[in-house]
This record gives sequence, C-alpha cells and structure tokens, in this order.
Amino acid sequence: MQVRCLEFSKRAQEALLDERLQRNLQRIGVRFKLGRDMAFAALEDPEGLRDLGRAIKEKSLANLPFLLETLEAKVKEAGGVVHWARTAQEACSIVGDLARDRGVRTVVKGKSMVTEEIGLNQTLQAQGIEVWETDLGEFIIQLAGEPPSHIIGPAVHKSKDQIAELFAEKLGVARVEAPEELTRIARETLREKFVGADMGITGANAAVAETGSIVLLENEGNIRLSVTLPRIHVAVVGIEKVIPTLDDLAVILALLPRSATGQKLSSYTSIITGPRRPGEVDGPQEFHLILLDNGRSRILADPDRRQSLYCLRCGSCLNVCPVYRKVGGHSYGWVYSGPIGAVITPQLVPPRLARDLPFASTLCGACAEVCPVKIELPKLLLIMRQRLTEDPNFDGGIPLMVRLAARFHGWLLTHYSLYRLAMEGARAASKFLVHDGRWAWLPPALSGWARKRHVPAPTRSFSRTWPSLKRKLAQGGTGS
Amino acid sequence: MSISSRDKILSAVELALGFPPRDPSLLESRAPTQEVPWIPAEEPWEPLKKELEALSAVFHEVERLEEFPGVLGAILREHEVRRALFWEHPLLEALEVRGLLGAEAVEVLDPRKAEGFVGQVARADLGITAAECAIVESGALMVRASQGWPRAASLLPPVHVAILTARQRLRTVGDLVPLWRQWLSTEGQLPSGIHLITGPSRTADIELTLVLGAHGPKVLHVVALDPGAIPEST
Repeated sequence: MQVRCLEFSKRAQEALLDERLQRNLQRIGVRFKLGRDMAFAALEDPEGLRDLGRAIKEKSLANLPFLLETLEAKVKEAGGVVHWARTAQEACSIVGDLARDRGVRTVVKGKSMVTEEIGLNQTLQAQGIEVWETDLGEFIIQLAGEPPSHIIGPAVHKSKDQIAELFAEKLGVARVEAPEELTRIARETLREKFVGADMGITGANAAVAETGSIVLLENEGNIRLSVTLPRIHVAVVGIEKVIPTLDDLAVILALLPRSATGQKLSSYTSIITGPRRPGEVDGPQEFHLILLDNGRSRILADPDRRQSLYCLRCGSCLNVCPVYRKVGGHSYGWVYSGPIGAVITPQLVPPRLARDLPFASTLCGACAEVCPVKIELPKLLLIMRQRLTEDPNFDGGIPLMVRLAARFHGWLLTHYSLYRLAMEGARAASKFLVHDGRWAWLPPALSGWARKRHVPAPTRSFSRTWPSLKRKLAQGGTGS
Repeated sequence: MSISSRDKILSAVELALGFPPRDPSLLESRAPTQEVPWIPAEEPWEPLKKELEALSAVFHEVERLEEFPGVLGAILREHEVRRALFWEHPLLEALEVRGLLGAEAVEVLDPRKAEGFVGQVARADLGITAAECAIVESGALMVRASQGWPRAASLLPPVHVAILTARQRLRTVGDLVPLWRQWLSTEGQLPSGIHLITGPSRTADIELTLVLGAHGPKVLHVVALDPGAIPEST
C-alpha cells in the first residue's frame, strides 16, 4: 500500500472539518472504550491477565527462531505448506505464483491488516484475478476504493446513507438505508463469490507452534467461509504472531476479543490445523502459510523497540487516543493508525516518509492503560521521536529556526534575571500586539509554531502578584 | 527462492536476538493437571442460558428423552425447513434425528458426499451439529471438523441447531486446553478445524448498528439435554 503519511497534517485538518466524520469518530470511540472497560471490569484479575499476555509475547519473541522452526515443522506434519517472505513484494509474488499455477480466478479475503500492509490485492488484480474483501466493512471500503480507517471497524468513517449511495452505484441495487438491508445485500452478493471462489486468503491473530495451528477471530462468519469453501487457503502471517502453546492461546483468547470489541469471545474463533483430512468433505484441499518478515526482524534487533511487536492488533489504543479520535485513521496515511500506527509505521516504511506520526500524540498515556499486552506506547513514541530527530539521514525534520529558538529558550531559562526581563518585555508588548486573546504578531520561529496553537499572553507570576493579593484579602476582598 | 528467504529470515532473527538457545520446555503445558474440568451434569443450565440469550441465541432445555422430537419438530416448523444437513454423529443417531427429519418431510443432505457438496449445502435451510462442549462464562459452543461432520453445517444454512448434553460444560476458555491436549494425544494432532461459536453471526460495521446474520447463520438454537434426556447408548 502506498505510504501517504507525509500528508498527515493536511488530512488531519480535513478530518477536523468533516462534521459527519467527527460524529462517527466520537461514537465509535465511546462505544468501543465502554465495551472494553466493562469486559475488563468483570474479570477477576484484569491486571494479572494483561501481565500474563505481555509475558507470553515477550517469551515468544525472545525464542522466535525455535518457535518459527517448530511451527514450520508442525504445519508440514499437518499437511500444510510453509513459505517465507522477507519483503512485501516477495509475499505478493508467492501468492501470485500460487494463484497462477493453480488457475485461480476468484479470491475471497477475510479481513487482514497484514495483506493491506503488503498491498496484496493490487498484485492479484494486476494478474487479472477477481479479489473480494468479504468483511462487511472491508467490502464497503473496497467498493469505495478507500483504505481502512480503523483496525476493527474499517468503515466506521462512513454513514449509512453514504453506504446506501455506494451500493446503489456499484452493485446496481435499489437504494436502501437500513443497516439490516445493506447487510443482506452484501451477504447475498458475497455468498455467490464464496461459492465460486478458488482461493481464500486470511491473516491470523496467532499461530500456535506446539500444534502448527493458526487462529482466526471474527464476528461475521466471512473468515470461516473463506477457509471452508475455496479449495486453497492461504494465510499471510507476520513472524511476530507465533506463540508457543495452547495454554498461551487461551490467554490471548481471553484478552483479544475483550480489548477489541468488549466481547468475552468473538462470534467465531477458528483454530485451523492444516488442510482438510481424508474423508472430510469441506475445508480447503491445500493450506499455505506465508511467514512474513517485512521489517519485523529489524525491529526485533532493537531491545528498546522490540515491544512494538507485542501488538495483538485489537485497536483499543485507537479508541482512547485523543488524537485518533479527532483526526481518524485516514490521516495516518498508511495501514496502521492511532498510537500503535504512529509507533510501527516509521519502523516498517522508510522513516522519513512517516516522520510526522510519532509527533501526532499528546503523550497522555491513555493508550498504555488499555493495551492488553501493556506495550509502553508513550515511551515508544518518545524513542521514535528521538530516533527520527537524531538520525543523520533524516532530512528536513525540525526546521533550523525552531532548533535555534529552542536552544535560545533553554539558555534564557538558565539566566533568571534575563528571563524575567524578557517576560516583562513580552508582557509590555502583548498590550499592543494581543487582540481578542490572540497575538497579532510573533517573531518568525514562534509564529510558525503558533499557527495551530494558542499562545497565551504572559501574565505576572504568582510570587509577584502575591503582595497586592495579600493586601486585598486582608481588606476582606475575594482576591479576584 | 523461498528456501533462501527462509534461511535469511531465520538468521536475521537469530542475529537480532543474539542466538538464543533452543528451549524445548517452552512447548510444555503450564497446566497443573491435564484433567478436563467438566461441570457436574446436575448443575443447572441457568448461567449458560443467560449468556446464550444475551447473545440472541435460542435456548431449549430438554428434560426427558421423549420431549426431544417435539422440540426439534417445533424448530423445523418455525423455520419452514425443507432441506437440512446434519452430522453423522453418535448422539444425533441415538436421538434418531434422521427419522425425525423424515417425519417432517425434510430432505436430508448427505454429509459425506464431497461431489457438489457446497452447491447442495448452499440450498439447505438448516444445519444440525453436536457440540463438543459449551463454555459457560461466554456462551460459546465448540464444534470440530471430522468425517461426516462437515464445517458447513454450522455455517452455510441460515439456521444452526447445536445439540449439547449436560455433561459437556466447561467454565472458561482456559478449561478447553486439557480437552485440546486429549485430542492431541489420542489423534496425534488437532482436528483440521476447531470452531468456537458464540451466538449467531453478527456485524456492526454500518454505523455500529448490530445486525444478526452477517455471513453465517442468523439464528442459533441450542438444544440442551438434561441428564434424563441423554440417550443411554452415548
């Protein structure tokens, strides 16, 4: 998928002006967060469970070579085929070749962030293969030609009248607005595709080394259809998704749906081990697992940033993020949005293409409080900011003017009498330059910074106003 | 190409981690016991019923074996079922499901015929399966794939009927682990497909409005057999 993170500020501005989007973002944030909080509150020991989740991911990554080899052996034992892809391009050509060799004409897809990451649909479509996103939200944005805007609800930015319009235009159906009717139309349209499809493509929420199984969570049943009806199932899975045992899986299953949607379990949890066995009449005849690196081993090599790979892709950090909830997923300009997107995008794409993202955060810490595997997101955001600004290859990050201004400010703060003099000067100037609470003029370095920020007029410090305040209070005044 | 990519990825990962030693104990179970902690059959259905109803599933308790035909017949008539797929499963055989379907003039699809299977099932109005167990905490039912137990039966028809006995209840998702390990040790591997089904298929992708019956069944009936309704042969 094309990286458009440099448009963050432009897109964020557009998003802020879009009233409908603002309403939708507000609703989803509140709903998902409430559901998540209630689900965790009902647990006996939510903190203990999150600690366990984190420990499992930590242990899994620390032993990744052994777990990957075990997973590979077990998948083969179950009759599956394992492929390894170092890059997005390599993964796409593996799937493309499989499809070509096996005469695949129609592909049905379950929702998967990783296939968005590698831009698989475009590769297959360029080969003349029909590709259908089958998750309702993904289907909607595929018809609209847009990327997903939320990990869990890819089409949350769209309202039902927009969807009604879209279906009428692209599917040639009568215009209906009721979500039930729109869902029925999608179900009927896609059911035909499922029955005729040759290949089902999914991601995986986890891969269990002990048994060679992949695990898929969903609510609609489209993923189950994708791995039940077509003769070939291809699962594209990041190498960080492997966990050791079924015990570990039970912990992930307790954490993930609660964090993502507030459900105790998703409507469907599928544990798939190889293709169909002799005598079985459905399920795929071939199962292919594609293990994808695409930058993950590089992240693994840095102990400070390794925890970025713990992410279960539940989306809960998006729902609580004050920045995400205003600017929406599209502003981030690539597949992953919100706090986790701001952390992993600059690690997965060339950093200078995503240099704005780690700065798109207030560092309020709400994300870290909800993360099911306790990823220290604010810390990672700071690390990414530091890496981006210290990187000698990082061109055009912070303008020279701002850097000089920051250095000057630092110097000023260490020289108290000069600092006070400067503040007095600013206060005097503000009498002429502040109109309606806004500065009419600021020196160049500050004016750029202040374009989207409110710069308050300086006031006297408390210690300087205290003598007169004390006098007023002594005389029985209120002090205001 | 893919062989060399394998080695390159594995060595990149090894290098990133400083060549960690292989630790086979990682793959051992942490559970203190490998007993499956079944809930005693006499315990009431209430907590499971509550979870299922909150998920918009329909719960039917069968106290005595003689009541089963009436319960199934009512479901068949409610949905005007003409064509059904059911599992060739010992429990369903003991309950004489095939005969009951015939008595209601329902056409029965063969769960072992691979030829044209999907096309056939796509036209079925109802699927009947036997659940391996239910998880009381969440209202989930577990089914598994096997010969004569097609996955489509709980997925393609608009109505899914799952039959469950009072002996097949677990409290949490963690309690499933020893059951999975039992399969691992008796069969050498997990079934090709294990599915936890938690209520009917649903979506909230359009303006967060909940709609049942997204791609899977719109209706889920759970027929729960009390100890007194479990056929003796099973």
